[in-house]
Amino acid sequence: MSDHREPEDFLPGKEPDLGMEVEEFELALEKQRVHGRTALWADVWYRLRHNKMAMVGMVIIILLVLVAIFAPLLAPQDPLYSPLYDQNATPQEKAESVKQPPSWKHWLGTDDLGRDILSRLIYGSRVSVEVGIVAVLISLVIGLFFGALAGYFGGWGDSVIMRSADIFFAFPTVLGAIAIMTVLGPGLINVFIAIGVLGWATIARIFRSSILSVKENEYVEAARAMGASNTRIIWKHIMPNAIQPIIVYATMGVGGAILAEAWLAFLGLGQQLPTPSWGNMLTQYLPFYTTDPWMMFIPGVAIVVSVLAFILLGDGLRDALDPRLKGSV
Amino acid sequence: MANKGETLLEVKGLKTYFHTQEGVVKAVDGVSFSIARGEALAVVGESGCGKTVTALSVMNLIPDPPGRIEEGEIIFEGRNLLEMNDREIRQVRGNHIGMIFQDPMTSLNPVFTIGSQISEAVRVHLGLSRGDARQRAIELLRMVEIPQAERRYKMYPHEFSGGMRQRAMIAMALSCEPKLLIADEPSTALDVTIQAQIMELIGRLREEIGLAVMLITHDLGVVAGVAETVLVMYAGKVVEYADIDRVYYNSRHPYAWSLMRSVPRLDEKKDRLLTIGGSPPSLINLPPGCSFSPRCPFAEEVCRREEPPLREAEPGHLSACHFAADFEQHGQGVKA
Repeated sequence: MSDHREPEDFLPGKEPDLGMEVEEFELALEKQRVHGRTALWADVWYRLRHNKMAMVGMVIIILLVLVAIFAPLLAPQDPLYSPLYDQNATPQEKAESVKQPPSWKHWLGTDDLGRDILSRLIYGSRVSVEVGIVAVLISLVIGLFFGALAGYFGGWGDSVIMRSADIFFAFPTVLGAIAIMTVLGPGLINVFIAIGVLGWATIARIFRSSILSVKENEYVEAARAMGASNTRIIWKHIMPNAIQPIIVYATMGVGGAILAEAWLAFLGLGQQLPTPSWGNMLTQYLPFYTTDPWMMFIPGVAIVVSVLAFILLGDGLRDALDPRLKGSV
Repeated sequence: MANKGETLLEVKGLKTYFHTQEGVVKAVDGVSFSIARGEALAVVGESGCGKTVTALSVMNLIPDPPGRIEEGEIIFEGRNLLEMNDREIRQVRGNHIGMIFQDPMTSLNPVFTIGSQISEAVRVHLGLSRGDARQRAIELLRMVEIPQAERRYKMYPHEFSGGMRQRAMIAMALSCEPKLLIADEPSTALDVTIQAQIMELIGRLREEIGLAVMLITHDLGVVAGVAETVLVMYAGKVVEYADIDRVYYNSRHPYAWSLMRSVPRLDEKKDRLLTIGGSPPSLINLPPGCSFSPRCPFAEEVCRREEPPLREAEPGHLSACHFAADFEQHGQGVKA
């Protein structure tokens, strides 16, 4: 019998198979290695897989990303096509095309210009996914760089970086984003920048504190004693051990960025019409809330569901990455 | 002192201070010693007497701030390590001087396999290809007597026992064939049988690859089997420095003498172990005169007034005690 067991064998719900023969166990181990799952991530994936809410979130996110990528194939109609501006459309067709409730022809109905809402929603997901990913990447690049600098080297650089982060914290995000957008002007690229730049402070702060605890580990000292350079120590020895809270925060941050894009667009600062985004659809449909409230609900629900999905996944990741937090090892 | 071979490492008047808010901590205050090629030097003393700081100073790994090497020279193969720039010192670390740490449980990075950590070291320093580095790492694991080296190569630190991790650390420290191995309490965190195995391994490697060892420990039993020379430290200073036999059987310093007598022995029946009363002094606020005088059973008035210099009590036997020369006679009355 082998005295060596994988952590998975001790997880609740899995009976440790004490009768397992050595060869059998080796084989299982080998299988695991062949599939390229390293022990740590296999463990995380195992816990994540058994978290129903997180998996719901993950499925929604995967669908969202697929919809965004394959929007041209999925959309039943050109999102910009309006019968009102179609010279071939008869006056009667034009009159009947606007603000149609959901039907077989238009699953989610048509808007005030007779455009297909489902198509607009599908194309709008592209903006949300792009903003989510790009803005968070910008925050990550800036935040991780300065967080690492502050946490690893300390000293006056640390003070300068963290005080600058405090300044960013002092701004309400909405106000900060509006200010930046006012300077840069409206448009999608500027939304990336505004949301991305505002997000760095939290990431820097989380990463710094994570590094502060990781860098005290003896393996960091050991790496230094082996002659590793600072860059190497940060990248190879500290980063992988300090990145876990960042993974969680960044996942939730994508949801946050989608929401931020929505209200920037709502204020008319985001993606400009006629290109659809969930935020500007909301703005566009707002005036009809008394007569045709369902129009407004469609982009609203899409935003809520996708933000929720990222939060659920982030929450699940947090539990999966650090099972001790739940107190249920 | 053993001057068998050519000098490999020479430390002269090393002073490492830590500048804290409470004051200046003189962690290492004027320490000098040398290690010849292939020699094993043991640095012993209580916790907080500056052993580890001495070792870290040699590696130039003192966290700055708050630490600073104020004075001294650390000459390794004819070059002063303290005058090297960052790039040069990194070449020395790992390549020429290897170091292993007290706690093998935390000295390996948990997210990489044992193999990748060892081969990383080889690749960085020796510039080997991935495949060659792998071969070398497996050889090293075999050398430190880890069974089934190929399989262990792919394992993570959490899959290793404490003794195996320390072996892996030794393999990593030796990966680039350093001439000196600094072992900072390598067996403290291990249980006794594993301790013996690790010390035996270090002893065997010394003979096989002609490694010089600087062994830091507070376990005098560990020292006896491995080292030839002993450096006894107290409150940041060297108090006795001689061949191991002399320190063990003919100690010329009351601190070292008391330490030897506070080790339990199998061949003696004692009801109580001798202990050294009190605790080491605060390094910020050293007592006047000899730092050991408040705890010394033989202390006299001169001890509290004047600090004894480190000088030869007999040829090749340094001691920092006013009564080093006639320590036997002086201690006679008290011992009985």
